[in-house]
Amino acid sequence: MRLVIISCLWIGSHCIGQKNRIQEINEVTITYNLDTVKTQNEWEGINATQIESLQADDAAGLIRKLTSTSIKSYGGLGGLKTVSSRGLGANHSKIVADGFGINNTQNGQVNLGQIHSDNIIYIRSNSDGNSQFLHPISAQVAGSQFSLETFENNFGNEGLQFRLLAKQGSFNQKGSYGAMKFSSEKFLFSGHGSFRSADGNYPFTLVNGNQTSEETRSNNDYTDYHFGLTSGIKKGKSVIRLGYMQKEFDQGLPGAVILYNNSADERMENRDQNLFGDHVFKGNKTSLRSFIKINENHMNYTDPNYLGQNGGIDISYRNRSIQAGIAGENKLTENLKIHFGAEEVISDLLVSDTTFARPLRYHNYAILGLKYKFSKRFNLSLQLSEQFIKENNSAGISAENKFKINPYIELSTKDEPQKFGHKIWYRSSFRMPTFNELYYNNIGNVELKPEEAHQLNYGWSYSPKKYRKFQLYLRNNIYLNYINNKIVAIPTKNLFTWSMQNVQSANIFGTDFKIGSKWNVYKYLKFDIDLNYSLQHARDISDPNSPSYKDQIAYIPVHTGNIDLSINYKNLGIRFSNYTNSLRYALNENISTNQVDGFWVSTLSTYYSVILKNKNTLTFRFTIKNLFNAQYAVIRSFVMPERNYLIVLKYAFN
Amino acid sequence: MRLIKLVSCLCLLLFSCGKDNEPPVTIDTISNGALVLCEGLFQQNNSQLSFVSFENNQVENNFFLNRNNRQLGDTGNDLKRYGDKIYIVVNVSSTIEILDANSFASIKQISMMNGATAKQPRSIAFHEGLAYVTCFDGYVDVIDTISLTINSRIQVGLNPERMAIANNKLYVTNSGGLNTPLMDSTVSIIDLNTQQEIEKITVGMNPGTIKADPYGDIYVVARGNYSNVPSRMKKINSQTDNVEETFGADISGISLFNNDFLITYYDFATAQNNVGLFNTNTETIELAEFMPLNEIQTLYGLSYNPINNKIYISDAMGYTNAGYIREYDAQGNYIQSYHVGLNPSKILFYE
Repeated sequence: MRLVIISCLWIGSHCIGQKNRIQEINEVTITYNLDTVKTQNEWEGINATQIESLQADDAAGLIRKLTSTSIKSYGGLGGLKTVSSRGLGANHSKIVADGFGINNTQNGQVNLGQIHSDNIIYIRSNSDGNSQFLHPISAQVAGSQFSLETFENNFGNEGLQFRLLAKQGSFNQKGSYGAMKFSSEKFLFSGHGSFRSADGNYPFTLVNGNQTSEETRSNNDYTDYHFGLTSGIKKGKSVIRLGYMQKEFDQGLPGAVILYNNSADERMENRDQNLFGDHVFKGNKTSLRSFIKINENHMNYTDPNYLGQNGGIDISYRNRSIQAGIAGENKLTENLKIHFGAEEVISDLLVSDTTFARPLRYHNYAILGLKYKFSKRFNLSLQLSEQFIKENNSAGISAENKFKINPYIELSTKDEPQKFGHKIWYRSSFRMPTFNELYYNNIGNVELKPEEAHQLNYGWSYSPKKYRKFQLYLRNNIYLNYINNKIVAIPTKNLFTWSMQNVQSANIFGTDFKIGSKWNVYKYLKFDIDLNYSLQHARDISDPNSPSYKDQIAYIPVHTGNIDLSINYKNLGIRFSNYTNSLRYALNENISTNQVDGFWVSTLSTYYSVILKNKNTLTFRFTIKNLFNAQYAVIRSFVMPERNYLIVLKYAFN
Repeated sequence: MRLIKLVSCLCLLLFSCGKDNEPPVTIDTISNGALVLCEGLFQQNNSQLSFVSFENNQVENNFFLNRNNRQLGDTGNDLKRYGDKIYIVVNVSSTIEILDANSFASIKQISMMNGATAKQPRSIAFHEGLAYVTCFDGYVDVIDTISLTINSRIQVGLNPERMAIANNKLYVTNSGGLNTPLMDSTVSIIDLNTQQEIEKITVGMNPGTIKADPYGDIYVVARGNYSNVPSRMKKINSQTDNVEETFGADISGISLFNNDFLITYYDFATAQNNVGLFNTNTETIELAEFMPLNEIQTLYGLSYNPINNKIYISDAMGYTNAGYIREYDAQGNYIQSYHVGLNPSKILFYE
């Protein structure tokens, strides 16, 4: 009995500790955390407890729980997964991990399937300009931002901590994660390593006209290793951090399920190396951060069955980047704050195919903004950002330099408990054409203009009075977006002559609702219910004469939703999680032959924790994914796994 | 109350419908019409047949599926009839579908795999009871049209595309299209008696379409590299197998039009595709603008139907929208359109 009480206390304190960490992180102390916004509302993102109970394969499995996101998933562990927010397209989203942007100037998209989730302790998205002001400027000016924090790079004053995790699942899925972190009043240090692998040969039901057959996915194996070290010192109000992280990937590419042809031999290997460092000063009035990150991504792609002259393809891409900058905010008066920053990102691409371009890009960002409290209730935010891009292709014609200024304006009410909070904002942003879009052999077009996005949003949130046993949170956003100069590949002269062009435009009307609630039924029994729903009418308005005029854009579902219910009783818990997409279209023309069926996918996860002596905890978790065995594909011809299982054992110290 | 109103309005928006689709049609009498191969798009498994009835102006889409309860596959590239059988070459699925020409029931599906490698068949031609299939892996497969088995493989050049027969020889264009930018430039000539390659002749970069005229000459289009090497039509004398002439226009396709050719070409001055009349007797472009193409968004194929003396143009509608077959009289005057599947290309006419 005594053990049970201690266990409950521990779990309780663990959860409360988590909450407090989120709520109190804004203090000007020597904790290392860049997220100042999340302190306003813990309901906005997904916290460590929720992340752990979701048991997602990767970051995509977490991000899809956020409102107004659509994930394009090609299936499988490590398979390509990208996120689009509010119908803008994946290249408008910037992923920030522990305060450092993840860059890919080759294709502009980050594969979320390659970002582990076992070490993530917080994740959130935001599209408004009132984002984390100490984040890289390149993220602050993007159309939307997803920021995640990992255990090993998030430092408080917890002293020594350990995490060890091992997992085993269907399709021979294996995973492990180990991290040690030490954070005192003067020093911080962490080391971590993780590993994932799977055969990926999952069964699926192939529907071919009126016939069905049982098939197995092939060439879908996956292995990756991540490891890293971070160290730093704390002095007064400053923290200096220096870290290195390396990721290695080796995977088969199963490709689309092609009727009558199951050959698949393509492979991809990746090595991603990162050296990063920053200095953060958090004073009473001023916060200042300087940061640098050096990244090299080496990717090798092979297809032994490609029918070219040399009997296959073996090609390597090396995408390198250096990003460095400063970001800060300053409280000038009680009612006026300014934020500012500048960043330079230099990136290039080296390709083993000598016919490819050799592009080098200098991308400069600057930002200046203010937040003015002009009455007891209202705030006004204004921001201007500048971007200058210089291109140099030493193996051919270079794209022209670009210079753009983008505004952000926001009117909001002060966050006050038990009052409706309102926020209305407008921002314009753009995304640069990628190296592939500008220079890829015959398809690339050096005359491409940036793809522009305009967003207008009204949102409200409300959290009624906290009752002793019940808490509720409501939020709604309504937005109208417009995308111009959308970059798409189109045939120009004939089917063989495709080219990237700025020819499309789209408008998006969207709204999303979120309801979060916590209910402590009695002493040991707790219910958490989270619901969200997003509507996105993303319409192609490029050409009134086109058959797809005003049709829903390919692969953006009109409806997406999440239902999450968790019940905790003492040190035992169960979570039911559901994710749904309405039907989508594989092409912009909204006709029945282009329909990709909608789906409901549910996960059931249970856990049991054993509290050992001296802050040691052992947690056993069993998860059934795709509980109701839905046969579905997010992208046509890329089938997703049927029902599968995962067992996780986790040890935590402190 | 205001909140309820807002939610109600939003609910209405949620269930608003997309565009209406045309009701499915089933055509029972297969005559006086055209069987159209719609290629679909890569990795979408949506290649299909449409049957266009000239009798009542109806179109039955999903014609293959309706008669065989299964899909045709991914990226159908050629459609031809030989005897009482129809042969469909499906490139990405790597199959040859053989149908009964009257019932359209599947007789056999030949899997075109070479171990783990898909041969990727591209086009088919017939001669004296044998079918010749170009395969992107550098071979022409020879199929017995009675036993429907592969007799042999004849090695040719890189990524062979199309074929023409003249003077008991098979001319095969080796495009090398999968080796961009270093493409092939040759035509393989196969002796149909010995079924061996006699020689490769150089015709220009990236040869594609090839047609024999009634006078024993072979016309081939070397498509260039789609940038600084232009597309050109060349004439091969099938007696000497020499390239005798090069024609100046940027020609992309050749179609038989009685004894002459209708050629499709790209006009750089207007940045548009045109159809011209090529006189095979005088070997000149007789009429540069044979017909106006105002109705065409994306010219993807042209076929002349000698049965009803009309011209049919495949309009691919930007390659990502369901296409049309546009009907013209023999003088090139527009008559009407038929809405078919994605990327219509080859057409087989029925009396």
